[in-house]
Amino acid sequence: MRELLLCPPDHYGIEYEINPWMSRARGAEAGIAQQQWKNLYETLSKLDTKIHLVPPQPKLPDMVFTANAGLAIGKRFIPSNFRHQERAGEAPFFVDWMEKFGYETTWLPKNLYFEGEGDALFAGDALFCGYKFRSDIQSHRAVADLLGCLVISVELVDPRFYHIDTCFCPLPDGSGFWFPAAFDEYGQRTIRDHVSELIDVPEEEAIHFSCNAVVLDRQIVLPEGAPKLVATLQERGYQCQQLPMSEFLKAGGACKCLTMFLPQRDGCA
Amino acid sequence: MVSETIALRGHIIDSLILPKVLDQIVTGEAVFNIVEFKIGQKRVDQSSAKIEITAQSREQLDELIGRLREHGAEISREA
Repeated sequence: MRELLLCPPDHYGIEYEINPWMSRARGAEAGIAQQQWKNLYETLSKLDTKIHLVPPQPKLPDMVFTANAGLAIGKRFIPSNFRHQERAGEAPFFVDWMEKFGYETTWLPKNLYFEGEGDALFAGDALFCGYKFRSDIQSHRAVADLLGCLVISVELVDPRFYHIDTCFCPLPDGSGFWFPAAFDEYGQRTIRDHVSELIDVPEEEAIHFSCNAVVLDRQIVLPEGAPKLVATLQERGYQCQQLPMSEFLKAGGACKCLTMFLPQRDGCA
Repeated sequence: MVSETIALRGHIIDSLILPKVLDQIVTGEAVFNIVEFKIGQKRVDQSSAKIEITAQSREQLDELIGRLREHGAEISREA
């Protein structure tokens, strides 16, 4: 059974603009967001998971995106050093919750931006980390020093896909799906070198954050709007649950951004 | 001609960061000389390199190094 951390969207809304998806003028519908989050919660609950909830905090609308809380490996928690001041206030609340839950916190140097599981996903024995828009590549080196694992740094080049979990989703069989154009040519080559049988997600599906999926063994929970990807995944034996995520897409997030694994891995070995 | 030495460390081979940095030096119309290179022995070991960069002008060199910093390059204090 996998344990997950979610945060109810009680204080969620578009209150600032720190990525190309956000527009205060457009806003998010609170009632619909509540329903979409509840739907995600219930879907994940039925998939052999134990879900924990961190209490939402006023004036921290993006706390709902728990993937950016930090990175949990074994019983160690590396909190995020958020690039944007608007989100920096989330960190102490996540740390407090994680420590009460039994995690040992290890901070990265404060001058290194790092946005947690949103920019750090294991594929096989390698931790793939995105850099440029939110996390610094220097933070990857610090994570490698701390964890003693192979950290593959890949540059993100499309600001719409500002975290690696918005454009890359590793699968437990060693394969994965991705939106290649979100990476520079070296990043594309690196991912192709390390991940077998990659499924390319077309742009018209990637913009629905189709790669922002929660993978639980053969079950995949992803935003609706990716019929081609879903058909390919089903051919490979995965079961897909497609959820409406419109109100969270307005903030540049979806299923995976709303979820953090406790832990993502037991260790690096 | 002006020169500066940068240092790179990390999984710079698996991540193709080293070839990316060298390519950017060349496309930035500078030349490089690898003065030190330590390759990690095991898969999880990090590698390191010190690279001397020579450009036509200080402005060109600073602009290039500014771009290389985005990929983890740091000015090496030991020449």
